[in-house]
Amino acid sequence: MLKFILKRLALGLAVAFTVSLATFLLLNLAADPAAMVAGEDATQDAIEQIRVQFGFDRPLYVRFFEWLGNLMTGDFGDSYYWKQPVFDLLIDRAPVTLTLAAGALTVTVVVGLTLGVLAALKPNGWLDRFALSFGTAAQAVPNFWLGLILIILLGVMFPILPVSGDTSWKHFVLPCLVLGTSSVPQVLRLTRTGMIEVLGSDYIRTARAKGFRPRQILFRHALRNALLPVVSVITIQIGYKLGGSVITETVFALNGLGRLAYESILGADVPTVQMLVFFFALIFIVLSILGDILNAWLDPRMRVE
Amino acid sequence: MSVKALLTASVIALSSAVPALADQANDTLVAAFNKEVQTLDGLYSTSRENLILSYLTSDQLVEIDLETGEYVGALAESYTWVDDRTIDFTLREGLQFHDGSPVTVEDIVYSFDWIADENSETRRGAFIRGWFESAQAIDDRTVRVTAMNPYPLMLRDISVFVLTRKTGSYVDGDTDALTQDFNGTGPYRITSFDMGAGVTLERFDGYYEGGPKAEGAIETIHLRPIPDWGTVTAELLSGGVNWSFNVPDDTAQDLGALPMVDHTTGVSTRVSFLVLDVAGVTDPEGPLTNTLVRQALNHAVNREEIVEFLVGGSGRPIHTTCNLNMFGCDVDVTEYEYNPERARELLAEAGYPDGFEFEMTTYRERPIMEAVAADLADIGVTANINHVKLSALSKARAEGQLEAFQNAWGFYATPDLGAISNYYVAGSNRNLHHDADVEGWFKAALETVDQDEREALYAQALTRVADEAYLLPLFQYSQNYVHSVDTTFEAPADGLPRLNEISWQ
Repeated sequence: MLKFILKRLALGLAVAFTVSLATFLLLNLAADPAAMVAGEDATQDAIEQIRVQFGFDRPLYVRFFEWLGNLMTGDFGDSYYWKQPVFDLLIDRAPVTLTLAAGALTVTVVVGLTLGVLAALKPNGWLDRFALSFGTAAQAVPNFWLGLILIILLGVMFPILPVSGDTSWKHFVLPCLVLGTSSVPQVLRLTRTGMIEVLGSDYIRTARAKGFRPRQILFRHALRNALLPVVSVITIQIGYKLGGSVITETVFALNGLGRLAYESILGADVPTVQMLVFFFALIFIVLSILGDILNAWLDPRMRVE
Repeated sequence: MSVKALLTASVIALSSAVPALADQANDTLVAAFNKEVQTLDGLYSTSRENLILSYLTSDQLVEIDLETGEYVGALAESYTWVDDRTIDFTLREGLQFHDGSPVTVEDIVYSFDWIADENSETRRGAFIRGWFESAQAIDDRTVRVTAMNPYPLMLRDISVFVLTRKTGSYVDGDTDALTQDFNGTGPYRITSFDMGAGVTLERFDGYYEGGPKAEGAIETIHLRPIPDWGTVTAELLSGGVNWSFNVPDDTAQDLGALPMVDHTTGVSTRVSFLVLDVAGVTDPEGPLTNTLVRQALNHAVNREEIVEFLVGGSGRPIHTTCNLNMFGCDVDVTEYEYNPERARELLAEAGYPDGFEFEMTTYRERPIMEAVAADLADIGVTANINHVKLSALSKARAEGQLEAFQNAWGFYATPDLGAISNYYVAGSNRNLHHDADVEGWFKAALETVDQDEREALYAQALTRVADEAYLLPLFQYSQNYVHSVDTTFEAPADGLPRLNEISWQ
């Protein structure tokens, strides 16, 4: 098991290095970062001054390994655009994104599981059809559109929730609904399929024959088994919720990591963008490794190559 | 708890979530910015958002009078030209920084020296280093500023780039000293700053009277970053926002049709044009080196329709790379009216009866650039649009790889043709005509303070540029503002909105 974990960790490190290198090259080769920082009306003198000031005149490999070396020592660098250490920016913005991700995941899990279970109780019944229709609609509707519709409904026509901002928990209700709804269909369908399969299995029939109550059969025997694949999907969804919040945070003017990424890209803030991409990649890598380890622990066959 | 009680509690809790309205009762104006303010120190950012903020929080020695185009005293009560490279500024009495300390001549000298110092790394230093020689305190109210050579834009540069800072603001050379904690001289002082939540300003009671800037009419101004226009719209409708700028034309028009929102459109100093590789930097034999071809391209573009259908608002077609309100721009130059037939004749005369193909590198307003390409296609010229980020365009331009590129120059809101000199002077990679006469005229106009002489030099230069069709001028931008109907707002003539002039109806 230890060998398996070490292999996965080594693979994760290699992926992290590759992502960092690719991000660095894309950010620096696709455009002139000095011109981007200087702005649209900057004179050539101003651009050249910035090139020297920020060290853009040095070879790429020197800058990349300097960044990597600093990262190893916990120095995330300083933002050109925000005039702050990147670490401070991440720490400052992370709580909003974590709150949003937690709220959205709750919406996904509660709505997805409930509708999935209800749909599986009577396949092709009206509840099942409703759940599947809801799932299709939730998948088809873009986040930004749903966000704007909810804003118009609950922020303007019936002003019971704030339109934008992040100063109270109430500000998170609409964004969590929007971000959470987008991944409901996956959880819903997986739960429904799993439950239908489990509810038709022999041991459930035996449980019924033994006279267990339907609620006991549903939650104690069927749902536990049906949930195993759903747990894996939810694990990955944590990553999507943390890294995929750019649009939601932009629409609702939430001051989180997603919006930091959006503004930093517009401002050509290479150190911040570089660190954010690395950070989001790291989340996926860690979650994947955890998922692999969890699966290997549950099923020893997976430890064998 | 019963279901009914739970529902009642939920409704009460949700009702309390309605945000505090931005309105007259609170004497708080909420202005929505499309981008975040990343630093309070205007010396370290030239974004439009920071320019608006700096106007509220910082003062300079002089300000431009938008009606006359003259520079009038701001922190300086008056100024005197000692000779053509020296100006004496006399400070007003009783000037204060926001922390209550007096503004002294030492502070003015410190501000000049800090900005001009390369190590200060300000975003404004590059503009004054080219001419600035020294700033000296003559007595306790007089500062003498000297240029290395006669420079006609001295007052412009001082009014735009030399923001006043208290002596020792940047202790030990700390360039970030005022990023979060700001001490300025403007009509508003900053009370809180959180990059994501925005900036809150309060009217500064110690602001001097009788200056060119209006004292704040509203007690509190909150600048909120809201990146999405849909959200700004919703906030305007729900009373969460009073004012916004830089609004896309269609959005602004839709909003203006609503009873609770006014749409105001004003001019911008920004102009859009194409720079053509006249000198043959990319190809010495290229078609764009031919005057007749460039004249044909100028005749082919329907500027009036582009302005009417794609620019909107107060936008207008241009025939020089400036707008007529500017000093040096009011020149009767050759205008190439929309005439595709004439364009085809010129192409045939130039030896391109079947047209030709070239790459047009663009970075903004893609639909407008598509319209330009479509007009060119109509006369048989294929303009392959290479739409890139500005930084990519700058890089390619610096490497001399561009056959034709789009540019949108904002003049730093300066009504003077001298502010666009880098498209005309020698040694600039934005200059693709390499016409020694034009380069010389623009250079000479930057080296004399005789306005009549400058005007004559610019007239010569612009006439030559138009006759030879070195560029393809397109349009002057429009600036759209939206604001709640309970506020008064007038669009500024230079495109820089002054929030201190907004008042309640």
